[in-house]
Amino acid sequence: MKVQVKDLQVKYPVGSAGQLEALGPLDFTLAAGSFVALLGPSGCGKSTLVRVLAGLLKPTQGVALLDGNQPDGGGTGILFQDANLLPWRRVRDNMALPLELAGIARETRYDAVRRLLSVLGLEGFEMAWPAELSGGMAQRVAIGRVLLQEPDLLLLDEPFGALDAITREQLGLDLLRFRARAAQTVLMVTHDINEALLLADRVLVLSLRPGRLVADLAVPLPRPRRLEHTWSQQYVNLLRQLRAALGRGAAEQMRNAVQEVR
Amino acid sequence: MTRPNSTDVYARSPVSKRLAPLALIAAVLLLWQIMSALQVYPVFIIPPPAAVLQKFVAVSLDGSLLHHSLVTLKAVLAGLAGGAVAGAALGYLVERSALLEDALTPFVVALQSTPIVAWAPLLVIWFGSGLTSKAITSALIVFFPTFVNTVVGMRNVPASLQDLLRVHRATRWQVLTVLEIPAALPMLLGGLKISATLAVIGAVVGEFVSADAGLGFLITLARSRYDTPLVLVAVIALAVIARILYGIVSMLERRLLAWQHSGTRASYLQKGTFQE
Ligand SMILES: Nc1ncnc2c1ncn2[C@@H]1O[C@H](COP(=O)(O)OP(=O)(O)O)[C@@H](O)[C@H]1O
Ligand SMILES: [Mg+2]
Repeated sequence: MKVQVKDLQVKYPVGSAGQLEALGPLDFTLAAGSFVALLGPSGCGKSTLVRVLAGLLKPTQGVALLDGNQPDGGGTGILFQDANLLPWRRVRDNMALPLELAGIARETRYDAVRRLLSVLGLEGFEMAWPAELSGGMAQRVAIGRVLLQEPDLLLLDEPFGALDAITREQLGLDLLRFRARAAQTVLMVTHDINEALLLADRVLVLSLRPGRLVADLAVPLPRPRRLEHTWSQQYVNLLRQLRAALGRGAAEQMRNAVQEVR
Repeated sequence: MTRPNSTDVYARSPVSKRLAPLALIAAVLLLWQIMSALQVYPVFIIPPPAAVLQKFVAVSLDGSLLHHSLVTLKAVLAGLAGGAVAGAALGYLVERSALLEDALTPFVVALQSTPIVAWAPLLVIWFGSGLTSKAITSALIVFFPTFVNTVVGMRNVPASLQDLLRVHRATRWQVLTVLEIPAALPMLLGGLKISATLAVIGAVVGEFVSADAGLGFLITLARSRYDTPLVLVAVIALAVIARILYGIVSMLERRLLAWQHSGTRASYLQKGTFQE
């Protein structure tokens, strides 16, 4: 799925008449099938952008287009920082939720879940309640859910943010492996530079709030990605460029703020 | 998250949990027997336990206890079903629509601030002294806890899960069955538990006002004849009915909310194979 963001701006109403500029104006295009990381300081509007693309929020100005259409949730999968499982459903019924909502028969759903469980390292947990899972396992269930949905656009909003570093790297690489079809476009929000470089083809960097594009960097590391890639000179160079971009974003923001005060 | 479970070393033994109430009943019976034997009060005020037992056997054998119990039970069940369904449905609508909330809230509060007992005579005038007036009195008392708990339960539906279903483009019906009802269910069942006992009160109040059958009627009748053992038998029958209803809702709760009472994570890990 191709994603086009044009002159996109989001302002939240605050108080009686005030407005909070949360995001933009923002312009970029994501090619169908690309894996793009979105990097930016916290509060710069990353989640806001995800909500717009998921059809959960109308932009104040500009448009977001998914294959030319306004976002309405169709064909879009989303993975949040929290696994967001329904606590009253067992693992298999949480995973099968997208299929159930699409009206697919129970046996077909459970077969699909069973095929995924071992890949996800969740064998034997089919009948467990969410309360019985660790954070990493719960997030694997959420990954399974989004995989069964087979969306054309996968939105990841700091999906591994709440996990420890090792689980996080592993899950990230697993996610790459599981990626169902090549045509799937992925936008992954993160504030972890290493995660962005390890997983993405391209990294977009936003400034402090309201988030604007301050860098757009291609990541020419070979695929499939491995942890060893993070030790290469090429990787270190990319890392340096990204850090500089994040710094620039912050500095520019400070200048703007000072000018506004004057 | 850890919850105390049956393997908790500090848990009280199930034996003491069963024996303690029985011991208390025995002690009360003994005290009662002593007091009536010493004739501290006249027999028509405190009849001996044996007289109550005798009365119980008599009204059980002639079928009148069962008859009056069934009449009351019918009113209780009708009131409970009607009040709970109305409370849950109206609670849901009020939570869904700001207009309905504004329109209905003053009336619901007014209804709740009036003692329902005061409504009973009016309901008898309107609906006669049969089943209908008792069921409605009972339903009125049941309505409020169900209503309030449904509203609170609906407000507990997490926004993040609402977003999840929106992204999946779930239909209104799917949102209701997959998310809203299960999320509100703990509160709803909590309300139903309170309602189950209140329903009995409602029906008996209705019967006190005017009736020709039912345990409330039996109490009024027996009292007018100074038949204190029969009053006691009817009161105990009411307590048993209320306790059974409460038990049924509790059982429903345990079954439907099994996900809340699941074992700890550690206990599951022993069964599973997952390694982290
Ligand atoms: N519903 C909302 N109402 C008002 N302000 C909001 C709302 N959601 C987010 N914000 C504000 O908008 C800014 C961007 O938020 P968010 O998109 O969550 O940032 P990020 O995900 O990059 O940390 C923040 O300053 C946040 O406080
Ligand atoms: Mg965020």
